[in-house]
Amino acid sequence: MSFLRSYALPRLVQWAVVILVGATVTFIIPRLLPTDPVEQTLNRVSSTTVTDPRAVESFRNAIRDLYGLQGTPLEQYLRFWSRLIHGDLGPSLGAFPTPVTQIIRDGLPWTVGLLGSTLILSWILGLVLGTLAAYFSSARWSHVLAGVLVTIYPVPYFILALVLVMVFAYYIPLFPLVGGASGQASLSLAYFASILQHSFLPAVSLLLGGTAFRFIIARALAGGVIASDPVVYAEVAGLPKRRIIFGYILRNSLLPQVTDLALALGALFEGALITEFVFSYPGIGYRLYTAILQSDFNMIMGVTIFSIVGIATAALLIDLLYPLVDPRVRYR
Amino acid sequence: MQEPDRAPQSPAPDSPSYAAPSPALPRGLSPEGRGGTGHARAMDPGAAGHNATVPSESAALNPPRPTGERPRGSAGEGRATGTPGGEGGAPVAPRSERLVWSVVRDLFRFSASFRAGAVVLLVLLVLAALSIHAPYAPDARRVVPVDRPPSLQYLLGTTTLGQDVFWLTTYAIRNSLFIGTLAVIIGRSIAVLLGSFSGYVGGPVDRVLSAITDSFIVIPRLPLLILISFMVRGNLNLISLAILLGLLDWAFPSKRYRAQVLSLREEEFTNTATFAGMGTLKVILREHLPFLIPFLMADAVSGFLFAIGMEITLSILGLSDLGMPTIGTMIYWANYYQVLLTKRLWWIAAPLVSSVLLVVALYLLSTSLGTYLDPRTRLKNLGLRRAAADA
Repeated sequence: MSFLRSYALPRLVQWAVVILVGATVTFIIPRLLPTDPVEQTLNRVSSTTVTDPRAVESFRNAIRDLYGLQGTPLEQYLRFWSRLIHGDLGPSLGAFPTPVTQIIRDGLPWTVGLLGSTLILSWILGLVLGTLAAYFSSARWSHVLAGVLVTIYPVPYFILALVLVMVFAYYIPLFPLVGGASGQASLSLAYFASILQHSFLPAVSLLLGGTAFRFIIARALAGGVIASDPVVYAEVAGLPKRRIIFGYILRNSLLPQVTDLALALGALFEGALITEFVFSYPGIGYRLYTAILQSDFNMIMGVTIFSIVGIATAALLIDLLYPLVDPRVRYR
Repeated sequence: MQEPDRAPQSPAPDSPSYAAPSPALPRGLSPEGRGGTGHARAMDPGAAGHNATVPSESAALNPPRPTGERPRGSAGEGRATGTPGGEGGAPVAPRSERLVWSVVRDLFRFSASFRAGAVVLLVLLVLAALSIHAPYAPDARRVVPVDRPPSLQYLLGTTTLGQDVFWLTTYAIRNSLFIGTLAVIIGRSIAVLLGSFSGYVGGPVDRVLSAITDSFIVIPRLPLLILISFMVRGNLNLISLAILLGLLDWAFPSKRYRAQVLSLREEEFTNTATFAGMGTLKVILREHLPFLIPFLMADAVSGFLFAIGMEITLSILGLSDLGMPTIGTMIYWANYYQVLLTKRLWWIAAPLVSSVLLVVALYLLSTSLGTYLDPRTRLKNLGLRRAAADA
């Protein structure tokens, strides 16, 4: 019980605070900005057709209602929350009566699949490679690997993804340029193969960035552990290298990496959004891009709120799973 | 997109002089937490320059206090033992400048990656400076023949819009550097002030501010940025874009400054300053800020990387001022005119190459600074210097 109170409760509170702050920010921003989304939408519609003033006025009220801009700010805020709690993000304006939540739900499996697999893969790859590079820090391959990954790391995702598209989908057409899969959705092997083929390049672009980041940290952490007493003793005792690396160094540098996963999640999610624009991968990011092109305010707003809640929840889950790997939290 | 929010929680260096009021490492996450004695290798350049490694409170509560000291260690000691308000009106600025200068000089002398980064950055700065002498206005179109490949007359070719790619690139680098600089100044000002205020004041204020800061760390910023820039579409010029980016990039660094001030607060000289009647803001700005400067330098670079990455992202989505040449808008227009399909690679190569050069150069500067900030590296350098002096 004391574990729940001292460990889980503060994290739950922080989770609630994140969502409160995030939702409030998304509520306030559109109201602080000098531009009025209602007038913007109105202008776009009425610039193409000529309508009489009364129709414009009723249309304005309709949009105002749609955006939740009726009543005093406090009323708007309360209504905003009640809609949020009911999971109602309003209809998409680009694909009109379809609710935003429906569109997000359609895109979600793609994004989660891409993000989840690359997150785990890049985490493991970066961790193992970084640890090995730290242990064999004088080896030639270690220098080369570090040089390559340190160069890749600061490059913006967009540039990375763009270069990958240019090289591997355009000049050397190994992979398809756009889309998530070809053929009818089914449980067949061919369909899975096509999913893999389509998601390969997006995944690689995310993997490169994620692995480089994890590698740099893992190498630094492992460097610290290598110099610690237990490892020095293990070396002196002549334990097999494999055991030293995986049993001592990797294990001891693992913990900060687990908590860090929760923080890196947001960044990787941003990367996934960008990757999806570049590769036209049918996840949330691509739908967000379509919403920008269609000036679909509701959809952009919905994706923003959804991503805040989603990332906060995922971070909470990682935090709550943390005691599984760190015995000290469990037995405190 | 950059990233992971880059958070250099450099493994807290343990040097002999290091005596932080270490609160019994609750989670003991840093390798040092487990009694490691550290090693030069522990301080990887990479981790230092970057945020987001060890989000643990334990590591955060052990800021490497000695980093504030000058290489020869006089600044810190001088402060700590200084007479109560002794230097009275002694302005901080010259001291801080001297500090920055000495760090840069040492770095140039001892770090190859710093030299490489500095040279590349210098070249890019020269290119940006050349834009003053550009024969065309930044938004001028149809001033040169369209779609010429690189030649002696048009060094990097021309675009479909009738722009000279070389001069366009100089403008793009200049504008992107401007956005990055302004965003860094805004973001770091908020981070330093909020973080040190929160750490210095402590108590409930600190708890509330920390909870808000933590929220902003978790909240993905790209959707927010898209939402905002979508709404002010067309009105987002260089300055407002920079302000927007700066306003979104303060959370992680703020946490780090808070952690540092938390330990600085326990130092003797803070008490001395308080008893001498200095106000909160004055103590933070005059007494604590000089200690934060070395970290600030490394951190400014990660802010720069964020700003440049986000500028490119927003521009490619068509959400920034597309008439203004920046690295991002150059890529946008090149994509818009399908340079890949029409084989006019020179148009897109220029912004791609310059952006990669820019970020890698900045990153090299940041990592070498990170290595330098590790007292162990500095001790080694001190040894080298002494040896050189003896010889």
